[in-house]
Amino acid sequence: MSIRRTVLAAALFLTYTFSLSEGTAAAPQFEIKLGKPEFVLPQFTGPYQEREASIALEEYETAERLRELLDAGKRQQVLAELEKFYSIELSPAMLMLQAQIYFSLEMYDKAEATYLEVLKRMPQLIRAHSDLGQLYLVREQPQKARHHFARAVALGSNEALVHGQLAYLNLTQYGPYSAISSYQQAAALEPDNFQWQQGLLAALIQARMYDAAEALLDEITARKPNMPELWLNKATLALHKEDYRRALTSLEMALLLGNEDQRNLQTSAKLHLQLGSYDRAMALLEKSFGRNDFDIASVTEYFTWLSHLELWDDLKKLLDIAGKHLDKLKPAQQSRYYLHMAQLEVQRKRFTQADQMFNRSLNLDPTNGECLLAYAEFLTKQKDYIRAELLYMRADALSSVEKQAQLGRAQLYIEMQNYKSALELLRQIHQKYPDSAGVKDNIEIIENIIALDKSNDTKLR
Amino acid sequence: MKQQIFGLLIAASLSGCAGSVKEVSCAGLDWEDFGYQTGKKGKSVRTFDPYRDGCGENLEPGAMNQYLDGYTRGIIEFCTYENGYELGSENKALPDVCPTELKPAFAKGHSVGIIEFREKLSKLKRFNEDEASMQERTSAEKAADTSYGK
Repeated sequence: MSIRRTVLAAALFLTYTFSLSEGTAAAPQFEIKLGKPEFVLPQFTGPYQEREASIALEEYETAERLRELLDAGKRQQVLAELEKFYSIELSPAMLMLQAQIYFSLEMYDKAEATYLEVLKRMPQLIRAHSDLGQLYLVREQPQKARHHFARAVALGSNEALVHGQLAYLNLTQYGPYSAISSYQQAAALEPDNFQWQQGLLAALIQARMYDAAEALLDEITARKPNMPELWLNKATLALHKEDYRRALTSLEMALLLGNEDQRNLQTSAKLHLQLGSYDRAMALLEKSFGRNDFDIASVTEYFTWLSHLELWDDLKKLLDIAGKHLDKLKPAQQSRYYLHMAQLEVQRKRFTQADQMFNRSLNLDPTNGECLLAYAEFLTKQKDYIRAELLYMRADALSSVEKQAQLGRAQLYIEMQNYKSALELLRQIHQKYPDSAGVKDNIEIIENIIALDKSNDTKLR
Repeated sequence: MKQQIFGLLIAASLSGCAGSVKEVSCAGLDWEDFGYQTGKKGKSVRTFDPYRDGCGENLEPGAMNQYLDGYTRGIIEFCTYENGYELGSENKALPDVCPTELKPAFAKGHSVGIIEFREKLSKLKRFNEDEASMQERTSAEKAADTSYGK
């Protein structure tokens, strides 16, 4: 009769997170849930085997007594019985039992020492390696855990849990290629176990083996069509393949099934915008804005998008929605909101309102370089050169927009026909940014204009 | 210099009739070497009992673990087929000190040793018997020769 081992009902649960905005599936996170321990005493097996441990014939009686105590849930009493012996007096099988009870009682130091004691005596004991791996996982020592799971597999362990855990640790410590085979092994041993399929899927995606991942995903989705995570995976794969329509369909399916992750909502909205279904995009963004975790940076991306497409009505709608949640924004974020409001008003030729919005934006964030430039450009067009010049000079002090500010000011001088100042500034720009396209040409043009003006003046005299 | 702490205990004799007071060192020993030597000589791990029981809280921290580490190394060296064979071939009893996983090889060596010892013994016995009967025959022949000569 083969040995029946003490089983610690420790299970590894893999959860899976997705990062659609980055277009890749993140590494799965795991948590270990220690379930109710189930003790099964080892039994006398006759012939001694190096890779398994059996109790000694003379321990049989003690083992029977301990079994009764364990059945009655008296683990402490069992420990007390075992602790009467020096470790060397116990068979490795009984020591394993002792270690497992320590483990189940969360006496991790003692459990570790006892497992190591067993391995000192039986270095090839598979069960000790796999249990110790488990213990190190609990104690968050993944490198040691990996070492012992790898030893267990090398010695012939054929347990799906051991292969699965080794796969996970390989995935996190050495990358996807070292994990795929172990996940496949675990999945082969337990084909119905969803954890291994998820792990394998994560490894395949990380290894960029998209076709294999897609095939596996199709198989899993057919069996579990109501899991939003699977549809998110499908969306991720479609994004990798730049199949945006399929990505969006899968993403919408995930949303329909209850996934309401903010980033997924926003990615979905972005895909709708890209594919031209603006109404749905607006509906999703409205839903997204209503939540505490919405990200203004991504919102402004949509403002810019809509501005470029000249979809002013949609931009207005979006700004109105965002406007209801302004109190949730930091001053710098509010400043960006008002900048877009100003730009919208400019488009609608409501210049007084635009001016007010620009001002409001700058009041909220005086270092908003983008706003300084846009406002200065607006004032230049309004021929309010003095205020425009002041704004360009303010922007000049910000390294992020310094060059644009100088170029804008040069343009302003040209508009003002102050060619001398424009030339001087362009020369400065050329000196500082010699590779800037067009600056040199402009310098030559202005030099010619100045020269022409001089010659005209001379002729007139 | 390590402080020597001693513990006293009443060690009951095996018969349980008489008790004797024994002094043991509770600190300052090389516990690992002590364990190693104990194991290597095939003595019981319980050699440590007087220290554990006699010293109680005075026992140097880690002493028992160090002792057991050393003992485990020593007993693994002791419990070999060869040593079992040697004991058996000297007709010495099989000591019950080996850990389960080493016991089979040790006991097998011991059995082989015992068998050889017994074979040697019976050979010797046969040899002695042969010698005796030969001597008997020689004496009888001599006696017959003498009487014939007479």
